[in-house]
Amino acid sequence: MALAEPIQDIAPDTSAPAAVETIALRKTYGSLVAIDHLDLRVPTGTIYGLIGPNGAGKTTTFSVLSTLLTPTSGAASIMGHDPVEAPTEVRRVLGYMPDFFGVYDDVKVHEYLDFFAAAYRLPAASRRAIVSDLLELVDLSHKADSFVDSLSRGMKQRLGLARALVHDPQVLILDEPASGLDPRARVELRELMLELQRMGKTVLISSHILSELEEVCTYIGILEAGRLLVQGRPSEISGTGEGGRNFRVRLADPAKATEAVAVLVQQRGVSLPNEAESGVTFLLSGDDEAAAQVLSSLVAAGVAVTEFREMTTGLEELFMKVTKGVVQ
Amino acid sequence: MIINPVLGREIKERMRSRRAMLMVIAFLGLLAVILYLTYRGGIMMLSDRFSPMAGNTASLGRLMFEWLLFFLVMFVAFMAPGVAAGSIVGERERRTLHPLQVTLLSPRSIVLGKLGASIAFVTLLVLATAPLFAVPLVLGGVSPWEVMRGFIVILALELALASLATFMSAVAKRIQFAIVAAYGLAVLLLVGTVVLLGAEVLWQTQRHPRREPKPLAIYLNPVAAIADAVTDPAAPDFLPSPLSPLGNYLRDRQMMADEERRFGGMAEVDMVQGGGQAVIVEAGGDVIRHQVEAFPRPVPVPPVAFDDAQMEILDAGGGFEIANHNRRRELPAIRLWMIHVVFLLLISSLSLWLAARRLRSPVVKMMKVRHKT
Repeated sequence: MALAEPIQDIAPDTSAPAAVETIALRKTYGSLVAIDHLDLRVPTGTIYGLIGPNGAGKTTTFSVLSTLLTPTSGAASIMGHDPVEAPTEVRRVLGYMPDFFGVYDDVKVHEYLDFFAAAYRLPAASRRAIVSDLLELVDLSHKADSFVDSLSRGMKQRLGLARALVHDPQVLILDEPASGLDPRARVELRELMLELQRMGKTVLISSHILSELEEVCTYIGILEAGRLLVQGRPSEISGTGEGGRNFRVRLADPAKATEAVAVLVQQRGVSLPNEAESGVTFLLSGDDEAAAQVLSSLVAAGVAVTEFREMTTGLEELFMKVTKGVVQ
Repeated sequence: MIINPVLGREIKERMRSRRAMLMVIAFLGLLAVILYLTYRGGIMMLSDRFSPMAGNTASLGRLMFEWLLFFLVMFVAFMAPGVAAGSIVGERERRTLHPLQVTLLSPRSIVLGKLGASIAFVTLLVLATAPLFAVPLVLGGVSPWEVMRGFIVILALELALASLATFMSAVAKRIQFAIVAAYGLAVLLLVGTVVLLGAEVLWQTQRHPRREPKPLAIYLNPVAAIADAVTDPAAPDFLPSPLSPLGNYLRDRQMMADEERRFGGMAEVDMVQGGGQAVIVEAGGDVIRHQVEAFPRPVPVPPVAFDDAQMEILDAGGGFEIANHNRRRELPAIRLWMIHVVFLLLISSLSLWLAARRLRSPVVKMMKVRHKT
């Protein structure tokens, strides 16, 4: 099995302190290397998507981070605590949702959460309010008195998320939370994650499907056969993989497309501006600030823009390219 | 005091179902039927042997008491491992263990909560039988203390079997393995110790054919402990129950032990033959009369019995006297059932400690349980 060399080594963002960090993390089972020299860096307050095919080592990584598994070598830290040396401190600041988890029979939704609140040593007096807040957050208030095994898969997933949140952790680790969910439930999950980010939490999430994550994640790491091939902001990753970021501009008056193209040609970093259906498309090599600059130039030139969005197909292609041929 | 969350949740989960109530009713109904059958059987046996007399109600009470206890022991041996074996491995199979392990609950709390939940229900059933014991108590032949001692041994047995099963549950990957292993350990404790006992008796009689065998393995058997706990050394011969063989054996043994305790040890006195009265004269002038009947087996005398300087045997009117200047202080009786209860508590502590160790995390290797869909 030939391991692909990391094609891109993007320097991790050092501006925000890391909520989760691993240094040369390695885990082997006999001769099987589950994760190898993993240097993960999840800045505080971000949503970090760990993407990789099944068997890439996502669950192993999360098991180490969530104090279930001892690594073979290397170190990890969650909010400055070592999961091997100080598991209790890590458990205090970490909410963990495994890829598969069961629920208990004959337990009602609010009792289920109350049980975990008690397991996190929360005083009985404050548990009722916490449980009701959490149920509201995950939109299960109307199911508080239902038995947990009567919930649908998406509801169970949301209940699992609420469970991981009972002790108000600063960091959340969600292993494949979207797997097996219908499209509607996925959208709800995505919104929940953004809500959690707004609450100031750091979310580390895994998936084997890139498209589930690329819209919501502030950072992405691509894991393959136990090695981190690339990590960084989606725009940075996709921007470096090929000609640039793909933007689409919808115009109030499609007749003004030619005028828009004329404006775009003059912008720095813009290439291949093209008239498209009800607007224009172009490629941009540059960060979000450059994109904002382009938009304000269009507006300043009197072009009425109704939509200005990035098409993220580039990342998908990158993912395919990066992970090609390593597994199978 | 805050109740263990695991225990609280489990009890709620178990007792909520109608099944729990139905089981209590069915169980008590079954025991009532057994009680009645024992009663009828006792009446039949009594009318065969003697003419019905008022005094025989004591025999009848005794018979019902011993059968009830025996069924309780069997019930506990049957229920406790099965209920506890699924506790932890069940969570592992259903994928609820990892979320629990990453909470602030210590492995010990998880294990004790699981154990508490497992024994709570069986204990409820055992204690619910207490009113049934009123019948033998009223008939006589049984003292409330005996009932209490019986319950102590049964509850200790339940704790030990549940703890062993909890340990198996913590170790096992599959629930089926945990159940089989838990029952295996229960059989080992109940039947294996009897086999061991037989082997030990055989070995001892071969080595010392003249001595009464004193197997140590009897301390390991729960049924022997029950029989001992409810056996009055001075009690008369009763109607046959499953506890009788062990009870009779232990009664003899206890009498010997009592004598040994009084006289300080065991020795073979070859020169004493026939029968009569042994009179022990102490240095202080205390005279203890000890009735010795025939001597098919050795008379307990102090280990120094053959030292002429310390002991003299006097022929005194068809009997004899033993003067012992080194009489030991009389110790309180430590009965077999007490030792067995301590043994059961040791088994429990060890099992639970090992189970909690198994649940400590992080671990080097995680147990993979196939996900059932």
